[in-house]
Amino acid sequence: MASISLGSYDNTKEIPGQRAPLVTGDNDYQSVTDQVCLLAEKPKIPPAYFVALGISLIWLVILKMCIVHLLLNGVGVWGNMSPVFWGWPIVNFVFWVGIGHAGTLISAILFLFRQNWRTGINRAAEAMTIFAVICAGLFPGIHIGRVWFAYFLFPLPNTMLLWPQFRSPLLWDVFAVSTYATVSLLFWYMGMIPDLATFRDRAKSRVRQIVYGVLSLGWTGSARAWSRYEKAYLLLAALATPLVLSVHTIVSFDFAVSQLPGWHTTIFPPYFVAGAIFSGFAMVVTLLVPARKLCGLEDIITLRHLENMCKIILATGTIVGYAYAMEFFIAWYGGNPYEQFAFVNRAFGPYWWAYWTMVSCNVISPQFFWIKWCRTNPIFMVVICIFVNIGMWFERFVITITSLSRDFLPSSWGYFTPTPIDVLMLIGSFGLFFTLFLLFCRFLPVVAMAEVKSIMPDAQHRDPDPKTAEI
Amino acid sequence: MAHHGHTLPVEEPGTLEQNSGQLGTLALYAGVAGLLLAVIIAAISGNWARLQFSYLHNFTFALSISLGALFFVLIQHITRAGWSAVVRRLAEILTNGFVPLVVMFLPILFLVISGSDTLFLWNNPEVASHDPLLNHKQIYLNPTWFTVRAVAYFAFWILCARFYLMTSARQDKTGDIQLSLKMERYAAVSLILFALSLTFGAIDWIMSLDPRWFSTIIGVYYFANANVAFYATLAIMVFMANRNGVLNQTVNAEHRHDIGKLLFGFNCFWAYIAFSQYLLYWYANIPEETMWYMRRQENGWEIISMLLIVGHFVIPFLGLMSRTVKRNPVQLTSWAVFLLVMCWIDLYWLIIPEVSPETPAFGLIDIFSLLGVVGLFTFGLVKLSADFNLLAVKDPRLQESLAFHNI
Amino acid sequence: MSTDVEHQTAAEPQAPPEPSLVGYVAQFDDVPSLMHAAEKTRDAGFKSFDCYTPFPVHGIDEAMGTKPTRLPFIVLCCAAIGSLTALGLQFFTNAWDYKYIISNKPYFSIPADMPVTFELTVLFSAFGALIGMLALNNLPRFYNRIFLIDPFQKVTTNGFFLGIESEDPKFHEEDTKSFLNSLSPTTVVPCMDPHESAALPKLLAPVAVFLLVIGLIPLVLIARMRAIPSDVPRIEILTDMDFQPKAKTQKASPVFADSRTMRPVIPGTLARGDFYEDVAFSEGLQPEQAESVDRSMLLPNAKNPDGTTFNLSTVPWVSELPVEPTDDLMARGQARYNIYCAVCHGMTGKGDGLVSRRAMELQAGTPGIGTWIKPITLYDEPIRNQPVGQLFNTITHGVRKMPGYASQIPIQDRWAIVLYVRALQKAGSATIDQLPAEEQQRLQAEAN
Repeated sequence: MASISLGSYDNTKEIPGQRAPLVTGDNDYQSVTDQVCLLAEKPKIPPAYFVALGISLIWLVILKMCIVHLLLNGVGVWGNMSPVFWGWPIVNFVFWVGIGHAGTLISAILFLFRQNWRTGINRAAEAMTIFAVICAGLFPGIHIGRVWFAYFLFPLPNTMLLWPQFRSPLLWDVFAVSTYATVSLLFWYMGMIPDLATFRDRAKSRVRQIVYGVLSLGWTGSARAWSRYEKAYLLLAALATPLVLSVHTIVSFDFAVSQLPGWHTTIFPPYFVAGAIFSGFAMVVTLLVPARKLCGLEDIITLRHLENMCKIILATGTIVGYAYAMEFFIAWYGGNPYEQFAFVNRAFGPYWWAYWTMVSCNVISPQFFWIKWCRTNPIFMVVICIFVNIGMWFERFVITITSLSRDFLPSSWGYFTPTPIDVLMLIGSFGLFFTLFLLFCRFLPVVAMAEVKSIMPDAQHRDPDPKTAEI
Repeated sequence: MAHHGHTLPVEEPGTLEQNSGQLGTLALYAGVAGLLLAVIIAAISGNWARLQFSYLHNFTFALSISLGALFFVLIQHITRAGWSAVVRRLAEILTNGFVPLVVMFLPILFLVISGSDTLFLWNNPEVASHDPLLNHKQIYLNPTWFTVRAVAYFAFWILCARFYLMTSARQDKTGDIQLSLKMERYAAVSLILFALSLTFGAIDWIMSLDPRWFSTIIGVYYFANANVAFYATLAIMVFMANRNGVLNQTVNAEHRHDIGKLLFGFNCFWAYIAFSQYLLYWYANIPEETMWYMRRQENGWEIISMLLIVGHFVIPFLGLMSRTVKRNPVQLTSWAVFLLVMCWIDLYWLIIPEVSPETPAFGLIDIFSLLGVVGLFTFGLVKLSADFNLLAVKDPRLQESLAFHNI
Repeated sequence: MSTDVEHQTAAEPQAPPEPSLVGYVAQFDDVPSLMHAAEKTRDAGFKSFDCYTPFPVHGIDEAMGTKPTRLPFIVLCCAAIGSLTALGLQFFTNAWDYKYIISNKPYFSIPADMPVTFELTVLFSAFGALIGMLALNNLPRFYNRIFLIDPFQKVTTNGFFLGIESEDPKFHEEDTKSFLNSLSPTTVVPCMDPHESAALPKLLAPVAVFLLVIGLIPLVLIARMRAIPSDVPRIEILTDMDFQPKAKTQKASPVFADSRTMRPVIPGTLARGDFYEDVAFSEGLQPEQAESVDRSMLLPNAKNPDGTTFNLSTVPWVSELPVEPTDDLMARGQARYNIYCAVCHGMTGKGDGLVSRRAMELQAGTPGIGTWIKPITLYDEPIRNQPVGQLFNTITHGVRKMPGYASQIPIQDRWAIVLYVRALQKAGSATIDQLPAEEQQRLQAEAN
């Protein structure tokens, strides 16, 4: 059996020509399986888990109460007003959708780029993606006010002989987000089939055997099945890669196709995508640092994984900084007084505090990751990542609120103030998110065991004669 | 994936000089002849403006190849890429092109400093002082500042390119793995400077041709185009090397497959960027933005626009999708040539409507300018890179690259 | 698992037969020995065999001689269907079935259709990839005899297995076993088909039926409610904005001291565009003397201070139209007259409009119940002699029982009606010799 004895080997050290091991400690296939299954099979769950779940559930209940309050009383319970009709809920929507980009990015784009370290984190990141998209979908869903008419969003034949308006970016959003949710779910589930089979085969109780037996669809690990499975995985990755780019691109179209100063900028699509990846990775780090502790996965989600994620956060954070700079430069260069005003207003207008929070959290705080100590210290990186997510939330706040509150007509200017319901719903959405994630940790394989095993030493055996490589 | 117990034999392909044959000399003749003929045609027709734009167009085309190559080198180092070790030297050689390019930039710079407003309308003080927009931009768009920026871009590009080429060449002799770490360390900062220099280069040399128009995405657009041009060139270089019997043992179908995938991927990225920009302007329909597209949608330019949609995206998207195509040398190279032509047309579409909005017709002047610029570019490359190996023979990740397999 | 052993035999005998051999499964230590064994098995000419591993092993396809899968082609087809569906949907809904223009975009806008087209392409392809993969692998398949082998549950943890099926033409009970043993496995186990399966729990069927019935009850109730008329108001789970706090015109208002919801107009208020400097045009009065006119006297049935009826002819009315009499104005006046006036005054102004005739009929049928007075003929002498200003005032404020039309008919149109009424008066009181000669001849020819 494959095993490596490295003890306290520091796998963040790079020796060109040698690939650092991605599974540390004295681990073989059996022990990897045991570690991943630990939380799901443990007879005694650590109390920290219940504390976390309890807190999350409380906030989930608060969220539900807020939603009931909203449904009974209408969207007036929010702070949305004229001219800021797109207030807090849309900010939350874009924030959560952005978070939801890391998972599919890790499973699809890093897969295509053969970044093997993704195997340790992809499952949890994909799960996080789906939960984030659920949180995201919640806000536009209730923003329509009368949720029982939500079916108007879809092209369903109806008694009024009406059809949705396909030239509207908001409808593109409906398609983009629902497609993204569906495809992410398919991708997540497909990736889980072999690991669910592991759970099935290790199951002791009848209930577990039946549940995991049904979920794993009768997977046998047959090589012929693996062959098609890998092809399907490759195809899904190739499909999900443009998809993940398209989702935030289309979210950015919501803003950028309009003529509002500060929104109508051609850099928006790639800039939104970079920002989404940035916040998504920050959330993955925020979740995985405690989760690897809780589940005892330090040898599988190693420091190298975390360090790589920090590097991606640094890179995408810098791209976001580039986009801020380009926006400002072109606003000046374009010579449009409204555009110039929009940007000056962002930085020095009534929402200056939001703008500078955004800049310091998004552009300045990730710069710490230039220092190796910062990107290999789990506690420190979580702190930075929380700042990053605060910054990314404020980015959406700045874009939405500052542009809307002061547009072309000074007579219609206003100042948006959130209500307590707004704030409670934002925190409550975190309750929903963490509840789902904690349940996932408890009942589903948190690490793609099969994929981790496939990148362990001795897992792959290939005739290295280049002649056989032709076609 | 690295292998244990096997060491693959490393082919010694020799230096570029040993393998380039008469390429340098031919390129020099072609370059000089091309430029002379282009000047003659301009003198006969009296259309000096067209000559200048044509020259600038081909200059940005050659520049895009070197920029793509520099980006490739940097990104391979920063990601510690293994597969690419066998082709990285070819890219490093391409980055030598910045030296002939800086020489070829001198005529443009001379025109700007001498006060010619043929290329850049903002260089006309008369117009600029009467047009509030140009007046506003004069702090940025003026000959002095333009020159300073151009010098800065080229200084960075040449320094960066030389650093990576020389360090990598030093490793050919010593095999010191510390050099790889050093190159990795510098790659991060270099990438930031690269992004800024490319963006502002694109703004200065492409976007400011119409000084009233603006788009925040122009840098990314040119970057996408540069990458497509580079991967196409790389595929062609690999093919030519293999035809000459070099790197046959080294670069195999797996590497071609990867080059093909990146070519395909960046071509899709180009389409994504181009579509994003178009959609946002089309939808918002603001005259100050759409006038730029209008110029490209009438008087026959709409044919070029359609050609780009179909030829730069739809056809290669379908053609390059298959795994077999990407692994087959002849097919991959054919698509690479096709896409390189499309990149050239894309830059034509970006630049030439500013001088010839009335017709999109190609002229001999474009062909000769292309021959001239690319000829001198190639000559410079071959001369400057004569002593370099075609393969980073002692790269620590070469073994991994040789043994590499796609799934 | 397309080549797996188990295809249920058609006719199941009554008594469960003895377990039969369906193949052998050999277990291996690690990947290299499994790869080696797979190559040997392939070279020995076996077709119905498979390897089982906890993770995908690269290169085992070649070792086993597996053919490339058709999956990419399936996904490509799904992608094409997705694109066409999206384009078709957008064409049908926005450019065919329910057309309307939005921000000056064409009904079928290719750039705007791209996002949805892309999303549906990906969606269809993704379903194609997952469902296609499962279908090609014969999944889901919950019962598989290979699961009955004891060490096989290791396959999802760290077990490497190679199984040869009895279906294979080269399979032989003894030879195959010894062949597998020659590949240096850790164990070789026979795979048996027990020909029996555990019975389902007895309660399953009743519980399922019960749940089904329970589940149908709401549907039945809804169907009943839809089919049967009811006097009771519908159940409102969500009031759907049916009851909103709002100010209704005739309700008492708690806000104002006078409790009136409908607010009276503040004295001196003029609606936007209601101010005219030219009183000749706006009121039909002579500008020089308009100052002295008491406007309240212009209302219908106004009384003098002594109680006698105010004589409207004493008012200084304009006698010339304050607007340019054109053919267009005449046509406009005719149209307005026919809309507003003709119902009572009749199309020709004789006072025989439909309302008037009906009222007269009703009064004639039941004497003494009606107070309807037939409108006077517009071309009667006194009316003909009225200045145009007075006619205008009549339309504006009304007269006797006729209400004012100021709120319905704009000023310009009231003058158009005055012009048309003048034309009616002229036509109604004309004699034959006032007509042009040819008209006279035509009429005489018709009379004869």
